[in-house]
Amino acid sequence: MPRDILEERRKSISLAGGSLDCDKASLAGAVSQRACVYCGARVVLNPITDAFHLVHGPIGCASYTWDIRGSLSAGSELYRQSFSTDLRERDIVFGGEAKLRAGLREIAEIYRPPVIFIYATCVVGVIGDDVEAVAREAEKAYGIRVIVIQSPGFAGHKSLGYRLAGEALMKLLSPQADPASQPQARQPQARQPKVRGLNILGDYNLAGEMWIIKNYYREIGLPVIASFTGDSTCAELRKAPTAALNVVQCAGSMTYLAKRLEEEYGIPWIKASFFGLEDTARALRETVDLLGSAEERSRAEALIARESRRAEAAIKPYLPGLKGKKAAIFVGGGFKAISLIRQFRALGLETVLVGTQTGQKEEYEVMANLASPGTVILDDANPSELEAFMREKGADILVGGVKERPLAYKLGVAFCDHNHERQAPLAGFVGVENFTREIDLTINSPVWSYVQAAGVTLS
Amino acid sequence: MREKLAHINANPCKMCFPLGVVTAFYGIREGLTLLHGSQGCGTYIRRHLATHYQEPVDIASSSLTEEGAVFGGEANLKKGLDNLIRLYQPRVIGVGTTCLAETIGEDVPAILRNYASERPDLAVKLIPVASAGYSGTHYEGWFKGARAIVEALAVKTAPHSGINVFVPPSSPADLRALKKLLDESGLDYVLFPDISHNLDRPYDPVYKRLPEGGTPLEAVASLAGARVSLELSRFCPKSLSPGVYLEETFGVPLIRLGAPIGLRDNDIFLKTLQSLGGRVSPATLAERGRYLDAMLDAHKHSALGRAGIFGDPDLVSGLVRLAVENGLRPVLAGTGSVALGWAEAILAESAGADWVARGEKILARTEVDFSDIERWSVESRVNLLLGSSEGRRLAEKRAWPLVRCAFPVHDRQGGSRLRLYGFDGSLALLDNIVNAIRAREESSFRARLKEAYFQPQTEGAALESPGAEAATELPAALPPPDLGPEILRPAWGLLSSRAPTETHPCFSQEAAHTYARLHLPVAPKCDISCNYCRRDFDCPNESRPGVTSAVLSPQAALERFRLVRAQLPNLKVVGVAGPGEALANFSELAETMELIRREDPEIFFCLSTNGLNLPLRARELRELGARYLTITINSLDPRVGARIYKEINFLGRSYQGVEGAAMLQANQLVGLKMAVDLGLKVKINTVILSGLNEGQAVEIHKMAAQVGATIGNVMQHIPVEGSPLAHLPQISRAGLSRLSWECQAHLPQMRHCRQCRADAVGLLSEDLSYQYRPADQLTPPVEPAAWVLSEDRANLVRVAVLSKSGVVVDQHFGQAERLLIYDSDGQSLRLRENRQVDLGSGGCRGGFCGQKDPLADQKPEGFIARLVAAAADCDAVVATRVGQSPRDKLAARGVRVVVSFDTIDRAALAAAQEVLSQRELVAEGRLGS
Repeated sequence: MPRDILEERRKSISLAGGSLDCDKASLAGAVSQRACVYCGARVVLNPITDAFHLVHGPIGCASYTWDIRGSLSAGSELYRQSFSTDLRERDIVFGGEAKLRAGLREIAEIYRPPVIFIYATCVVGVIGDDVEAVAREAEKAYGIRVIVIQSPGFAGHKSLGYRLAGEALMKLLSPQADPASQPQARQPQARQPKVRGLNILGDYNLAGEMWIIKNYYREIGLPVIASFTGDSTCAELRKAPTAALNVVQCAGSMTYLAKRLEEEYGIPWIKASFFGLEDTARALRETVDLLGSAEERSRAEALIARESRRAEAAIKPYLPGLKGKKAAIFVGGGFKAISLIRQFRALGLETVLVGTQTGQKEEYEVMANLASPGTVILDDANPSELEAFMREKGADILVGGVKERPLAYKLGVAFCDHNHERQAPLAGFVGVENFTREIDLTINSPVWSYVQAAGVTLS
Repeated sequence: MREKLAHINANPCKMCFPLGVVTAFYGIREGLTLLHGSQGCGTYIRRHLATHYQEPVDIASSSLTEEGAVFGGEANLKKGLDNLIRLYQPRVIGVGTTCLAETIGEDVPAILRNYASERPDLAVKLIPVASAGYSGTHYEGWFKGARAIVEALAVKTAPHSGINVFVPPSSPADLRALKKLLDESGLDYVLFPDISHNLDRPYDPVYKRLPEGGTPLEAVASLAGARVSLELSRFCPKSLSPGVYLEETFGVPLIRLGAPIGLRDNDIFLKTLQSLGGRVSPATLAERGRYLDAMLDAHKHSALGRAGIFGDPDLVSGLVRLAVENGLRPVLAGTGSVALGWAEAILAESAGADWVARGEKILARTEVDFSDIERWSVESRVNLLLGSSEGRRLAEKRAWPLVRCAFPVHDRQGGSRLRLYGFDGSLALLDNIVNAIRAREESSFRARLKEAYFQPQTEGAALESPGAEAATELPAALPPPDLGPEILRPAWGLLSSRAPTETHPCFSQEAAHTYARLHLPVAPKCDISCNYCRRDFDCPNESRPGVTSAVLSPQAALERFRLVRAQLPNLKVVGVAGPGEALANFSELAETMELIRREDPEIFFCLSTNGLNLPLRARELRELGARYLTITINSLDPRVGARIYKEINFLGRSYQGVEGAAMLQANQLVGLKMAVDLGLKVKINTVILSGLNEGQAVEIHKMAAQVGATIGNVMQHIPVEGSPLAHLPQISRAGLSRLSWECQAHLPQMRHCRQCRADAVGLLSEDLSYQYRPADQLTPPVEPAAWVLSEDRANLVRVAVLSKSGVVVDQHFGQAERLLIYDSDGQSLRLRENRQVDLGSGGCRGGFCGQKDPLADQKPEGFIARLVAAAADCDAVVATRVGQSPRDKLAARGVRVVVSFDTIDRAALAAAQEVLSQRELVAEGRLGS
């Protein structure tokens, strides 16, 4: 292990395929790449396009999350606004409830959104605001669903935020809690008649990826009832309980919701990945297996054959230029990391480093099984570790988030944006083409020939 | 634009206080910050800074947890400092607080004193900064950070001849320009905080985790002995000003002036340096001359600008002054800060301008958000925005150019290199502003003037003759189609009522979102054979290729209509788009139309046709209620047509090659003319086949427009598997769009085409066909493919796979919460269910079991038995490991155990094959069961 890896971090780093510590609070002072509970909740709920997302707290949290994720909408743009109660010094002293109450009244009068999500951030609990009470009161007064997400940053890390978002979504679906619903709709949901159709969970329509996936299902003939949460509306999400199957794409953020939907509405679920040819094909086949007819299965096969052939033809010219290159992966969730290892292998790249912000134990085991021996595996890594191991392993490319990009470039390492800022879809068959092209255009750029390889000085 | 939310900040025009503090600490050498509070504060600020500066930004956090929030975060903070020092070896650490730490009352100075006293040989200077996010904006935070550093480090009071230069938040490139001016002056100076290197680092083959630029600590120490301080900020609150602190504490005289933006503030700055004994270089004077020259060159364009300016108080003030001196009207100035006295100062800036004297209003507002900026920008008739990239959504929405000249810039390159300071920086900015104004003028004045003054000739005269020409302009090579005298005599002007295009979703983009349509697949047969089509599927002219819809009988079509209309009251148009050719199934078509018309006389019909039989049927169609027609015309040259169409069957005869193609296109044009004259709205579809007919598209649409078509649509050819042209490359989206624009010059184009299915239902933007599909009335048109598993259990193997990831086999049998159940015949797989294992009351059931590892917990009684029972109907279980006890129990139930780490597909197939080969052996009597 390189010299400057902190002692307490060593348990979270595996060099020889052994197990590692994960899902722990970040180590103080280590400069973790992780964000907080609020972040996790906001990223999951934000793509609901017609919801009113209100941050209750001082301004920072709203400033830094204003429209920063590339979820696209075919309809409302309300979700791209950033609203905050902008608590100031005096509100901290006298409490923020009055401001929140007044704000909710205005929102109800001016916007009349189908739902208001209130994200209560760090200080709200500390100053003693009873946000839940204010929400109930507003719900009663205005007949608009108001859902509170208690998401102080210190309550855990991003994963907890995912779970809180799942709980908020369950509240959104529950007709008992919907002030606008008719009494006859308030029957136990599990007994609601199911229709032949599926929900997609855990795709956020970055660069239109939800649309791409839905198009596949449309072509096959399987109706998509609701999409969690990419380009969704409240009305659409409320139909989700009638679906016959949940297809979970981003497992990290949505497994909790899938389990809850299974328990309360009796909807079975499968995990599926739409990253890579193999995974996409399998995802479509399995959905059809569970829901479709023979006719639809043959349509799926026709689609898979046609699209795979096209994608394979498109990526073929790039393969010689990628073969044998070394990849480093540092992404948010474990499921994406697993898909990336497989995608890199399919393109002839070897993964030498893989890490995530919020991976789970089983996911790290899968990574260890998939990656070649000697691959560095890290949980909740920091810039020092990424720097040390990318140098040691001679990585040619890093796949990561926005914060990691400048580091990669400073180290003379190519970079692939597999993050919320991406503007080219990376999911589905077309995503394989884009991914390959993106890898090629960075890794084979002429600029690298003008800089020294990382760690090598001019003599 | 909605009403103002008075109690809610809608789209913030400010960032939080600690962001400013952290940025200031990037301005001292070997400095770092640790934010005491929740993890997210540091992470969000890092992302925000890194995206603007395109530099690694490392900010540590004490990562406070729930426990820390309740019992205090001293332990976390100390550990954080240890780790940070270990990783980066800084000489200074700024310890900023956050909303959380301030609110729970952390005594950071005391903790830091403890920390230092516990470590006598500590070589790092720790500087506490009280910086709750709610104490102000990032602007005030910057000064607070700078002042905290000065208070902690400026201790060398020995007088010296140097001067101090304190800067407001500035770009690295501007600070480099400022240093150049100061260097030229020959004065001894310390610029602080100096982020010019640390947030815009040159590429270095040796990456240094701790950047090496910034004001040296020794220089900061000497600030206390300087002969004078210049503070380039007019609006920094006194309590946060480093210059005020030095003046009050050490008697260092303070001169406050604006940052050198624009002619006047650069002059003031240079004169101030001169008054202190500094020189101004000839090169700088030449730059001044160039800036002045550019002001003159640009002044008439500048005067057209009505700017909305937003950002930090100092920056906006500088920009307003630059605007005023150039004759550009800063009609709205806004800042997110409280900025006492600022609004009055801004108003005073422009007080003397002649346009203000003529009664034009200027708005200067503090504590604004972007909803305010939008409202007041509209009110002030702004045509240009100056500020950060946070204005981009507003700029996009209102189509105002945005000159990005302030932090943060998240959607462009070069945030570190924004230039405003010095004559050259002001010149660069002026060029950008004027070019934004000129670009708009240059690209719009032709259209604007044409719109204002050009009057076209009267419509009748203009339209009459080209239509007549169209009929005579048919390619000479055409053999006259033998259509019979009656067909060639259409009933001109028979009907005058025209269908309103506004209610047809295909003909109007607005209608696409509001008016529903229903496609009824009643026409299976086709009378032409296109080379890009395969008859097993729907006609690719109208439907998404490769899609097959079941064919409905006329009666079934009526049923479908009733079903859909009950749910979609906005249903206005019923269409027939295949799956074959509508007119080749005329009796079914006519019957369907009659049935529906009888049900609802208000309904219009829309038909898709290849046009071959249109001359024969146009009048009947009109009488049956058809109002819309789509004709797919792919060529006007029979030689091209011959390569697109394999065969044409017309009135019982088959035509091939050029002859067939010529026949088809002649009928298409005659049919089009007849339909138009009958009052039908006609859309022309053209499927673009790369290398075959791109060159034809514009001609086709030009001709169609002349004949009287309403709208056109060029479509991407989507290869249909098994068709002769399946391997033809598709035209690119960009190529298609270009072509579409070229056609648009002649015929309006439908740009919202979704290439619907033949049985599409609902709005164009929302296909509902599968929800309206009475399964029992449908006849599947394709044979089930070979993959379908036999339902005969004897030939099937059922396999349970243990996978948490859903990708590879990755669980021990004892870890199972779920079993993925597959059926297989040894060749293919079919997922049957994701089976939940009932683990009993003591297990993880009944709720989310968090991140607990089931193996680490106490297992409920009978846990293994329950797992085995869950897999008992399977022939095999695939897992990464199976213990001896479950292995025996599974064996007793006849379940085979397969250990694998492979992908699910491969592992399940291998297991199925194992079971099948064993069955064979048993069947052959070579192995006992």
